[in-house]
Parts: sequence; structure tokens; C-alpha cells
Amino acid sequence: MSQRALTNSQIIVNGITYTYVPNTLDVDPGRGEQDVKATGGGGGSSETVYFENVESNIGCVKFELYTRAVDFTAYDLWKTLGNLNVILVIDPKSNLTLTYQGMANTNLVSFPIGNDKTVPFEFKGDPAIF
Amino acid sequence: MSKEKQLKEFEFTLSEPVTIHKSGQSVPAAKILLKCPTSKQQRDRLIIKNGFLNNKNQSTATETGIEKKAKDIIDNLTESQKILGGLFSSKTADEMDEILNAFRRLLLDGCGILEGVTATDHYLNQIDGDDFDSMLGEYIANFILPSWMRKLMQS
Repeated sequence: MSQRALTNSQIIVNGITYTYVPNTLDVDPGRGEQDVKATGGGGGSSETVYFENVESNIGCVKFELYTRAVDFTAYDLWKTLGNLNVILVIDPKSNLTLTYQGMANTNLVSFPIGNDKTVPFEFKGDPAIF
Repeated sequence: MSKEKQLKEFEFTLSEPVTIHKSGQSVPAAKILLKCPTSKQQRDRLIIKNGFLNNKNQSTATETGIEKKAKDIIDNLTESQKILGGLFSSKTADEMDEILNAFRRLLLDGCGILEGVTATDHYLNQIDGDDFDSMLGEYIANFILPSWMRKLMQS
């Protein structure tokens, strides 16, 4: 049976929907990194040990916008709110909703002005709820 | 003749809370504060006012000789419910759509506040359809109707 990939999800930041450059949305639900190592018990026996690196339990949302006047206002608000932004990533066709709370716009943002120029935004905060 | 102070805002309780974004969290909002329109929202205010006032000249359900039981129900309706009933019974779907869209634009333009957060499309899209209609009725009853009555009394 054929499955459908997520290709055109909706981004809502603080209740406002933003249109973004297609194919630039990247979401990390923030479940972090894990590792498995082996320990030896002698006589050829071994046992695995599971590690969770909770340092990496950070939700992350990245997307790019074209340089538009409205984005300066949005950027100013996002930076002013600090870590009090809320982001929803919604895929209407599959009813998948990722909710990111406590998000901060962390990257250094510059707005290139010219034809076909885009501005990357990166938000980090609490792991996603879905 | 004493001048009654214009009501500036009132609170409407939603039948189903909506989820808003506040202080970095997704939180439920069960109440929306509706504010009186100003000259800034002139066009949308006039669309609603015109839609309501045009309705005043058309026959209401009580004038068409309906059964007493239905009349008793209508007599017990609130002012906003009567206003809504009159609007829906006299307007086409396109006309009601235009009035509701004007009301929606008013809310988005600062007249709708959900638990301290200005209404956005995303928040309004979550509101139950019947709630939205009831909000319009209350809005007309609290802001448009008193304004119209005052003008009548002054003339």
C-alpha cells in the first residue's frame, strides 16, 4: 500500500500562520540521542548498556523565509519573546500536529536583499508534543 | 434625556475552549473579550450595521402568524438570539457570509481578545460555528443596537 510523505506542512508561530520557502522546513522532535555500548562479562559473554544523552533533548524547528517586510516584524517579535514562542507544525492531510512550547529563535539572523534570497530561522526549545 | 454610557467591551464564554499560545505555552481559552469597534474598523462595522438595520424593515417570525407555541419560544429568546434569528431568516447565505466575514475581520483587528491574547485566524478557526454565530448576535445586541437606539432617541 502506498504511503504519503509530509511535504507541505503548515507552520504556525504564536497563533499566526507563516508561508515559508518550500522544502526548507526541518523539525527535530527533541527525543535526543541515545547510544548502546557493550560490556564484557568474561568467558565470551557480553551485555549491552543503553545510554540516553539528555543534553540533546531539545526540540528544534528550522525553516526559511523569503525576505519580506512582514518578516522583519515577525523576527522582532520572536526575538523579543525570547523563549516564550510557541510553534505548531501541522500536516492537514495526515492530521499530524507537532506542538513546540518554550521556543527561542536562536540563530543569528540577517536578511539578504535581492532576487531569490532567503532568510534561515532556527528555533530551539522544549521537545515536541504529538 | 440622560446619555447612557456606551458599553466598551463584554466577555463571551465559548462552549468549547480553544487552544491559544500564551507565555510560551499552549493553553486553553474559554472566554473571548469582545471590544466595541472604533472608526479604525469602519468598513466592517458598517457591513454588520447595514446588515442588521436592513433586517429591521423585514417581517419577523412573530408577524407571520405562526403557532402560539413557537411564538412563546421566540418571546423567551434573548435579544441576541432574536437578532440572529432575524438575520438568518432574512439573509441569503452569501449575505450572511459577508456579515460573518466582516465580524471575523473586526475580531482580528483588535476587537477580539482571548485570555489577553489578540485573536488570530488560527484561534478563530477553532471556535465552534454556533458559538461564532452567537458571538455575532451578542456583538450586535451590545454595540450596534444601542448605538442605533441612541441615534433614534437623539433625532
